[in-house]
Amino acid sequence: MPGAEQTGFSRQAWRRLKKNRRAMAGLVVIVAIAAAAVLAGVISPYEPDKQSLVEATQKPGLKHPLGTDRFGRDIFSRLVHGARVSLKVGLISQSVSMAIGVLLGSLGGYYRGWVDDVIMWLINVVWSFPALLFVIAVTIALGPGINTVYVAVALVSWVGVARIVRGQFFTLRETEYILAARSLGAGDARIIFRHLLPNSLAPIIVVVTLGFAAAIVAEAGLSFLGLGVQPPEASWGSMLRTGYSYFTTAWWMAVFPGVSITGTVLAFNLLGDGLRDALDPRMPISN
Amino acid sequence: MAGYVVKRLLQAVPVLLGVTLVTYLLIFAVPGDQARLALGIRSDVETVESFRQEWRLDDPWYVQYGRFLWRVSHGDLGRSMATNEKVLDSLLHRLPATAELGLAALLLAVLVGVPVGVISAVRPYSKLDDALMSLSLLGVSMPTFFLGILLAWTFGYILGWTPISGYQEGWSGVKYLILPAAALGTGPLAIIARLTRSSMLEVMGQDYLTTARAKGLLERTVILKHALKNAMIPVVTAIGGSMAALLSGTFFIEYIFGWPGVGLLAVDAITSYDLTVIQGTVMFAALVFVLVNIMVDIIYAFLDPRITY
Repeated sequence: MPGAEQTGFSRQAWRRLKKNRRAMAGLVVIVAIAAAAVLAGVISPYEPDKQSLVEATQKPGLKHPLGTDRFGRDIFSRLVHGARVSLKVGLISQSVSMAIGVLLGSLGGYYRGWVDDVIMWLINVVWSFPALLFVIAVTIALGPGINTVYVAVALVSWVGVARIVRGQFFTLRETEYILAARSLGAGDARIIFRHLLPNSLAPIIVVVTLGFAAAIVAEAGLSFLGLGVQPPEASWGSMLRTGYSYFTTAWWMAVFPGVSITGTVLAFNLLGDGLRDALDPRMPISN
Repeated sequence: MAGYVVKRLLQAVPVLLGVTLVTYLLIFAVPGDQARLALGIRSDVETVESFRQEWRLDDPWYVQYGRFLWRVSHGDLGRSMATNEKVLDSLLHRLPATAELGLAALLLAVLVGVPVGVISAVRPYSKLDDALMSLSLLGVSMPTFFLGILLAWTFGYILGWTPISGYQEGWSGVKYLILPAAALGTGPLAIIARLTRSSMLEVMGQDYLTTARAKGLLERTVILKHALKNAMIPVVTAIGGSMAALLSGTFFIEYIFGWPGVGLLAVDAITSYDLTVIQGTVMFAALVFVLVNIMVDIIYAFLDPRITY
């Protein structure tokens, strides 16, 4: 039965989401950026790392639609390749954070007692750090680089997932259908995986979508400080970092990477807000 | 009430212990010689060796963590690897500039964010509401460091209204404060506006407002006196939440605008790999964050007497 109910519910949610123009706009932008990232090799007119000093710091024009940087590298081609980095950071960090968050959140919410106390303590400790500072500290401890960024972002964003899952389990555990399942002889594992988790899926999807946006900002921030993606590889944050040093002479070097970050984050926030309304209209607005 | 305050403070103790443990382990995990980290790069081999003996650095990590905790609880955050200055002294020296910037940003966020939220909530789903909320979402989505660069470029460079970077104490320094405070405050402003709106909408549907209207009160009185007062309760929490954005934001904003506060100290420490200073600033920021959130919880309980758990 829960399977059948799930299809009906997700179909309803999708119908509500389709009516939300902002959310759909966000989805379209995300799909476009994902397509650009996948097809980066095909659609970028130049090699992203190819230098051409005679063409250095050119304004946006016919030959280079978004201009070139100080090494004559094509900004558009670098942006398209940078999209890969941003989406990869979002995808990997959010998958890891979902795995940790679901595991710890379920354990705490289901077993309560000292297990929950320990997990709650962990959650509170991580939440005591302003998220971006925590990510910076972890990156310094593990050494700069893109792999560190995945780990660092996941280490902070699992907390959001764990809190949601734990809260859901707390309330759902008391419902009659769980009591019914238990009296039919269902064990802990069956109750968690067949009943509690599927019914907690909606808020998890919302948190992970918004977490995607936060992950993209975190990567950009780390690379802006020189702690993320290392040269010559292009990421939006590292492009903004170089662009920032030249913003009085070559505005396009900073503006286009910045607009890319903002646009992508906005798209994920729009979709996340829309998903929240579509999946559960009663859920409070989180910041 | 007093009981609640004590309880809330006691709850913070294990969390703060965890915060020191995490910051300690993070820097402990950095490959390198602990003695050299503490003494600085320029110290000679004998000094390093005697320091290692003196501080018993060959002890297991938990014994060392205990000693670290003892030092930290006595206000000793060690010395900078780069300058050999006491980390706590540098932090306290830089704190006033950061506090000035942070307060200006917070003031902007509250003074603009709350009215924007109220205006949006008065006519929900109108064109104005739509425009204001779209702008707010843009404000939430735009990273502080990009907004900072944009503001510096437009108002500092193209229009030349304010200096691009620098700092001055007192009233003559306000022209340096405007751009960084605006860049830092925009994110929290947007968060507060969105929360005020949703909180107002929730309150506006309640019976006591219908009663107030039925009594013949002016709409303005109903909204400002009856609705806003109750809607502000969750907004107080939002202010606590936006402290995270403010504290992380100062790192980038102080760097971009050359503002000589704790954030710039930290970014300089990151560039020069000054681990003791990084450790000190991260722990300090977490401490401030925890304390602010305790204060917010206490104010919350004070505003809403139903919360006394």
